[in-house]
Order: sequence, then structure tokens, then C-alpha cells
Amino acid sequence: MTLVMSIVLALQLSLMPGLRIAGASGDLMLLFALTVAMVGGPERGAIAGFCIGLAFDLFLTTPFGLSALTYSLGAYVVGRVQVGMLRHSALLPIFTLALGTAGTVVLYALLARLFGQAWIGWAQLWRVALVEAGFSLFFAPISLPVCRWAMAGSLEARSASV
Amino acid sequence: MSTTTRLLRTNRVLLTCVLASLTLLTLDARGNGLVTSTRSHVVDEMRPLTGSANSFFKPFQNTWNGLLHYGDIKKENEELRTELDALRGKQAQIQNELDRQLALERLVNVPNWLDQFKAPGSYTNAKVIGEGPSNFDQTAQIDKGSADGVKVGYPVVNGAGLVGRSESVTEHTSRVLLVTDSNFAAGVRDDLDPGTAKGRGLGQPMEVVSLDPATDTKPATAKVGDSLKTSGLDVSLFPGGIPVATVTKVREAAGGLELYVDAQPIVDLNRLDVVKVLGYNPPR
Repeated sequence: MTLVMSIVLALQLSLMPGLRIAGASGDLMLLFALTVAMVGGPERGAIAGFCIGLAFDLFLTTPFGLSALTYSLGAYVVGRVQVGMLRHSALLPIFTLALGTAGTVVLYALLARLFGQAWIGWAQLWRVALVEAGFSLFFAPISLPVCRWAMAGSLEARSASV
Repeated sequence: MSTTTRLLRTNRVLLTCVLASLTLLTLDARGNGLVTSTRSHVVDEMRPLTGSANSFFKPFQNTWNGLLHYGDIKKENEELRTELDALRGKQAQIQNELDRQLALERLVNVPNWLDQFKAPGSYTNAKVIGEGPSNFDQTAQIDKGSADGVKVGYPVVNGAGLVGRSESVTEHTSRVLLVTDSNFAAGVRDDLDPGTAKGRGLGQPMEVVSLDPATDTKPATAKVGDSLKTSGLDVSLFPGGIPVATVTKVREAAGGLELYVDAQPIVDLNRLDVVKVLGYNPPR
């Protein structure tokens, strides 16, 4: 899991800033946190969101802990949603991840404002949310199997204990 | 484990994460040294890895940009060729005029905006090695840090004008807050009047607000095409005279007390390569 997170972090820092649509790029770190929640449930999602956000915060100039807080909350909500989700649908998790990404981006901007960051404006926020959701839609079919593979051992252990 | 017990445990986990995040946010807001030094060390330690990854992914990024902006690039290329032809013709004439202007400036003692940073040690040349990894973080990473004399708050410029200011500095790298970041602000002036230029993020034009309601002639003075430079007033974070942006739209707020101006940054922030960090400490 740590290895996957390191690879995603490296991709986010070096690849994603150059892949922009309408000036905005995707957030693989957020997608990874939400995917963990989608695969492992709200509890794991919240912890993964916190750790992934914290790792990302080290490389940003925004307040330290803001990504950790937002990703944690976003992943928790996505984890809660997946509990009641229909299992046989293959597309539903992908669209949920995209929607979760957009929601978490909006939450991030609102919390950033609360913690003293300048407001970027609703028009831009929607644009960023839409682009990030689009990227999530594109990368979710990759992130879901990767997360399932990375978490296979721990999920089996949990099933056995239940 | 019953559903209620599991729900309680999950909520407890979330609460712990939220409280831990809030604690970190509070520590950071209070300027805790541990947070700053951890950030600085991690960025420095990861530098070789991110540098290699940047080089590895550059072709992918170029391909992406080529595919996404093929039409724009082709059009821009044609425009640039036309412009280049025209510029070649004007070059000799401009050189003459420039020589004459420089001579006049020396005569009346008008400083060129970079003149005061010509001395060795008063500036540091740096290469841009990365862009901001988040959409809420309009920054660029440069390859010079505290070991090279860069400090937090130093103005960063290139040949065209103001790029931003150093926001966080590690030993060997710095992160530059670009003029388009929504947390960026600088005192600017056109020919006569001062105002405050603020970034609006994501390639948006900057917004300049004049906060001087007593100036009745304000609406008449700012016009599209005006060049805005740093004001260099007493409390300004930047030395005076650095080109910042060009006015693209003039709006007047209701009541006419404030003037809002949209201004396009003079520097092309999408193509930053080499920049100059000026060793400028604003007067306190």
C-alpha cells in the first residue's frame, strides 16, 4: 500500500502538473484516497485519506493538514456511499469516484477559505471540480483494480475476522 | 461485530483523523518550526526522485499538450513567424531608440527596474524545475534554495517582469507563489495611480483594485493597454518599477468609489524556464 502511495505521489508531482485541461489538472492523490474508501469502506477510507492527504500536504504551500482533513472527510463519505451500493454494477463505482472527487474539491475550497486562503471564485471552482472529476472518471478504471490488488491481503484478513 | 458497534468505531476513526488534521492545521498556522522543517526536509530528500520523474514524464506531457493544443500551437507558430519577420525589420530601429532612451534615463536618473540588482550577490539565477502539483496552488518550483541565499518573500522575475515571490524555501529548492495565485497581492501603479493587484488563479487575469476613493480622476486614468508596474511604496513587498501586467478591462464598482481593472500578467507563466530571484528585503 505504501509502495502504491509513493508511486501515485511521484505521478502527481511529476506527471499531472503537465496534463492540464482548461488550466486544471487531475488529482491522483485524491482519487487514490477515494478508491481505498470504495474498496475498503469508510473506516479505511478515512485513515487512507488522512495519510495520503498528509503526504501530499508536504509538497504544497497551502495550510499543512488541509488536504489530510478534506481527503479524510471525502473518503469517509465515499466509503459510506459504497456500503449501500449495488454490487453488480461496474460503472457505478467509477461514477461515484468522479462525483466524490468533485464534491471533495468543493469541500477543499470551502475549508481553504475557512483557514484563511483566498477564495478562487465559484466559476473557477466548478471548472476545477469538473476537470478533476473528468480525470477521475478516466483513471478510476485503473485505480480500482490497483487498489483491490494492493489491499487484497488486508481485505481477506478482515473477511476472516468477520 | 454488530452494525452499531462498527458504525461507532468508524465514526471514532473519522473523528480522530479530523482532530489530528485540525491539530496540524493549528500548529502550521502558529508557525510551528517542526511542520516547516519537516516539509523542507521531505522536499529536499525527494528532489532527486521528483527530478528524475519529471525528466521521465516530460515526453508524455509534451505529447499531451501537442495533442490537446495542436491547432493552437500551429496557429501560434504561424503568428510567431509573421511576428518574427516584422520584428527583424524593426530590430535595428528599436536598438537605436533604446540606446537613446537609456542615455536619457541616465541623464534624468530614472532607474531601470533591474539596475539595482546588477551587483553580484544581489540576485540568484534559478531554473524552474516543476509546476504546482495542486489546482489550488499556483506555484513553480525552482532549483535554488537557502543554500544559494534565497529567502522567503524574495521577488522572482524574468526578463519580461514579475513572476511571483518565494513562498517556501528548502536548502536546495524553493517554491514560488506565482502572480496568478489567489493568495498573491502586490502594490502596483500605472503612470499616476496606485492600486493593489491580486491573483485569481488558474490562468485568470489579475484583478487590480484601486483603494483610493478620493481620486476623482481614477476612471479616466486607467485604460486598456496600460502597463502596470510594482509601486515600490514604503510598505511594498517588491522594489518599484517591475512590470507586472497589462490592463485588459476596466470596470467601475457601484458608487464609483473603487475601480476594478482586469490585467493580464506580462510574464507567460506557462513557459517559465530561467528566473532571477532578487535579494530584496522590503523596508519595515
